[in-house]
Amino acid sequence: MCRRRLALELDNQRGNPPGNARFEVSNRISADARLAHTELAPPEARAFVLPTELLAEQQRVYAAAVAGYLTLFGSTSARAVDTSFETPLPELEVRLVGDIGVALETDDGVEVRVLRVGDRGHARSLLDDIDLRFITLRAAPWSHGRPLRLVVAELLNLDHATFDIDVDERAPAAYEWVAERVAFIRSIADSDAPRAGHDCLGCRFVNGCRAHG
Amino acid sequence: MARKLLPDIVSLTPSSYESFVRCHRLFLLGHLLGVPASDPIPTPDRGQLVHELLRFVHERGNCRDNAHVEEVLSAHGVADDVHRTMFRRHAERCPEVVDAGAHEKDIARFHRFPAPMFMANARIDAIWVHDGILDARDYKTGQRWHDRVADDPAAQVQAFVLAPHAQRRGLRLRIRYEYLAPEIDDDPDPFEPDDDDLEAIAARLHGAVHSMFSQESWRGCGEAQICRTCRYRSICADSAATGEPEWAALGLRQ
Repeated sequence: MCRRRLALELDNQRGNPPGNARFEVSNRISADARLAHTELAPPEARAFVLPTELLAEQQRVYAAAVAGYLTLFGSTSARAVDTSFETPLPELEVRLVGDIGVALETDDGVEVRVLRVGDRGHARSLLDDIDLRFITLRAAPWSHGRPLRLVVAELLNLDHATFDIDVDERAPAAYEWVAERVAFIRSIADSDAPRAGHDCLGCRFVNGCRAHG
Repeated sequence: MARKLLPDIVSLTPSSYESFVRCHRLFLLGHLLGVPASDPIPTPDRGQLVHELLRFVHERGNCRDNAHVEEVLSAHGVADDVHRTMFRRHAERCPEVVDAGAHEKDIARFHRFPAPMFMANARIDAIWVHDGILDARDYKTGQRWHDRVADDPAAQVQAFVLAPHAQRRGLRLRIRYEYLAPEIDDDPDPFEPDDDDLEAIAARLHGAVHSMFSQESWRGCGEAQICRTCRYRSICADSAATGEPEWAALGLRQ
């Protein structure tokens, strides 16, 4: 990544925010899925309420994604777990931030459902190693030593994959990986040299960037 | 439309601008809202492979060296007549002697004033410097849509981002499309924009971004000729080629 953009993001500068409308449907699906699992039971279909504030096309995607969710998970009992949006790693002076998916308790332990709506992009897998490490560390505080099942599902075309993770076994290696990446990021962010190119798309800090005059 | 759909700085790429020119709703659904396609679109697999192989061939040798090209094609499991033909067609078009060259370059250009701001960005397949020309090539493996590169909205974004680089080096800018598929007879006329052309392009892009901020309904074009190949034709509110989405989830669930 452009070093200037990296340095400013690391510093949590605000800049000009990029649009986030592209996450409206997927965010809504995840939120409604949590509401559908208030009891240890199969999901309540009535929790999925068509978002009339969104465009007609987005509503059709939402409806299809709900159909996909109920097809894949409609017969499995689960109860949503309230998890924090961040996991502090105080020794590294960082916080892992972001939605990891729908966290649930099941009859067999705990489960995280990563819900995708549409493909991630050409030739991209449903889940990659970075996602796995991130989810492992974020799930560690509330899995409490229980086996974690990670299910990633693309809800429109019903592609899915399941991973059974021993969090206690995997968490140390995931932590070491994060520590290495944090050290590397801090070292390269020190230079803050701008580099005009692909990273300019969606960059919040273009205004005032010397690479753009 | 009350909610904020556009960021403070709009991103423009050749494909997003082309979408906006073709149909405002296509731009909205595809580039602002990221709505998944409801109808099948050709996979980019072959095109991407050809792009990568061309870069590989140039970085490790010469595209006119048949033995080198054959070795590369064989190593990637595509030593067949189709690919050999595509590479032969490319070699006929590729400049023989160059001062410099680069592949898969991302070029960005920021427009600040007058408002609204936008960031134009284009990935150029190949850039060659020769004979006082900054020669930008776009490798095409699909069908041809224009007789002149200048008529393609995508090329206008390419020209906009490349122009400062050509000017800085005292070079003329040329944008050329290489149609490599055997079934395409001729390439469209290359585009060599002069200062007036570049000024008009900048105004056109700025005008497009300005009109985005005044869109209220983002109406689709509703033209059957355009809708019938659109990846949203089955769900678009303004589609003139209606159908049913091909999502598996809809086929299984009652």
